[in-house]
Parts: sequence; C-alpha cells; structure tokens
Amino acid sequence: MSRSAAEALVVEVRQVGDAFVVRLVGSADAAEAEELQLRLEQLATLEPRAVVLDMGDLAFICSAGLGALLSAYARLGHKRGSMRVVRPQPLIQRLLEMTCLTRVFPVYETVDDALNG
Amino acid sequence: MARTLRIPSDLGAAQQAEDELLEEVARYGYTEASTFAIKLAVEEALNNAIKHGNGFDGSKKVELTFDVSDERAVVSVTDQGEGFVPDRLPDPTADENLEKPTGRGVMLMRAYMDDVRFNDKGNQVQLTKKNS
Repeated sequence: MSRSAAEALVVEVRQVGDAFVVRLVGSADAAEAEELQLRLEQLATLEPRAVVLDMGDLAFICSAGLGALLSAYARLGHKRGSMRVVRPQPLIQRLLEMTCLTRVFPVYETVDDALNG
Repeated sequence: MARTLRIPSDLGAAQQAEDELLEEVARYGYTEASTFAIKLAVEEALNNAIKHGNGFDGSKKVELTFDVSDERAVVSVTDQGEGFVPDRLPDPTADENLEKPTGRGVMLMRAYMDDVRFNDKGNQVQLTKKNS
C-alpha cells in the first residue's frame, strides 16, 4: 500500500551482491533532498555495480530530490544503468518522463528485474 | 477571498508564507496528496522568485497571493526581477543538460499542478490545483 504523501522520507538501504537496493518511502521535500543526496553519494563512493531505487512507496519528490539522484549518478561515473528505478508511482513516472530522466535511469517492474537488468 | 503576503527575498520568510498558505488549504480539506503537490510546487516558485527573480536582493519583495475554495486553490508568486521567458530556459531534456542536477523546477510544477501559467513579463507564475 502506498504511504502517506506527507510522511517524511525514509531511506532504507540493503546490499545485494555488488549492488545496493535503496527503498524510498514517503515524500522528499527540499530539506530531505539534501540528506538523500548525502546517503546516495556515500553509497556511490563504495563503487557498486548498480544502485537500484525502489520508488514504489515514494509519493512525491522535489526538484532538489531529482538533483540528488543526478549528483549520485555523477559520482557513479555517469554510467547508464548504474542507477535504476523500480515501479515508480504514476505521478513520479510522469515526472521522470517529462524530464526525460527515464533515459538516464532505466525503469523496471521489480527489484529483481533491476538487479538482473 | 484572495490573500496576499508580501515577503522579503529570504527563504525563511518564504517558509512562513508557505505555512500560512497550507493552513488555508487544510481548512478546505484538500487531500494529503493535493496538499503536498501544492507545497512542492509553491516551494519551487518561491525559491525561483527569491533566487533567480530577485537574486536574494534584500530591497526586493516577493508577493504570494492565494485564493483557496472548495473547488480549487489558485496561487500566484510574483517577484520584482526582470522576468524570464519560460520557453527560453535551458531545456533540461536536451542531451547536453540531461545529467545536470538543476533546471527542472518549472517541469515539476507542470507535473504536480493542474495549470501553470506565467505572465508576459515572466516575473509571475500562477499555479492552480483542483481539490480532487
């Protein structure tokens, strides 16, 4: 079930082999985007094969939050496929499509698909 | 009835004004999702007005006007800058800009709100969200 839009962002990280799965829960406003950026950039310094962003319970993200994703992507070396998105809610999917970020972050139906993609 | 708040070019003042707007939205029982969409879009608009419109100039003000009803919330943000032409902003979807972390505020407003329009000068944005 989707979490509340007003719920503060929770970032859950687990390691699967040489990749990280990052589950984003709630909503990322400007204040939380900074923390998100720090967390993702920390992961990027560990040079994983991929960072998989599970967005199934992410209700909203602000533009600074999108910037946080792109900053971490830059730390990963701008390699297409190094950051992957899983099952974004329709509004987030629309935003990713409008901004053409689906060309940067491939979108998958499941975490397993993303890990194997 | 519409209310107008005139604030300095300061992000703290913008936060207080935003809180007043959201209190008004809450009074009309907007859904949590609609409320959060308004919050994020207005944050983008206020940040743009303060940073890019007024350039953090302490002598310049930002006006936040809102008219909230059972049907819709109409919010406008006006700065005292030179204005801009939205179509002439660097295209964040162009290949050379795609991986840059900034420049997506206007697109985000369009994604989250039902209607977004700028005045001719480009120093005012009007945001509309239906209560659905």
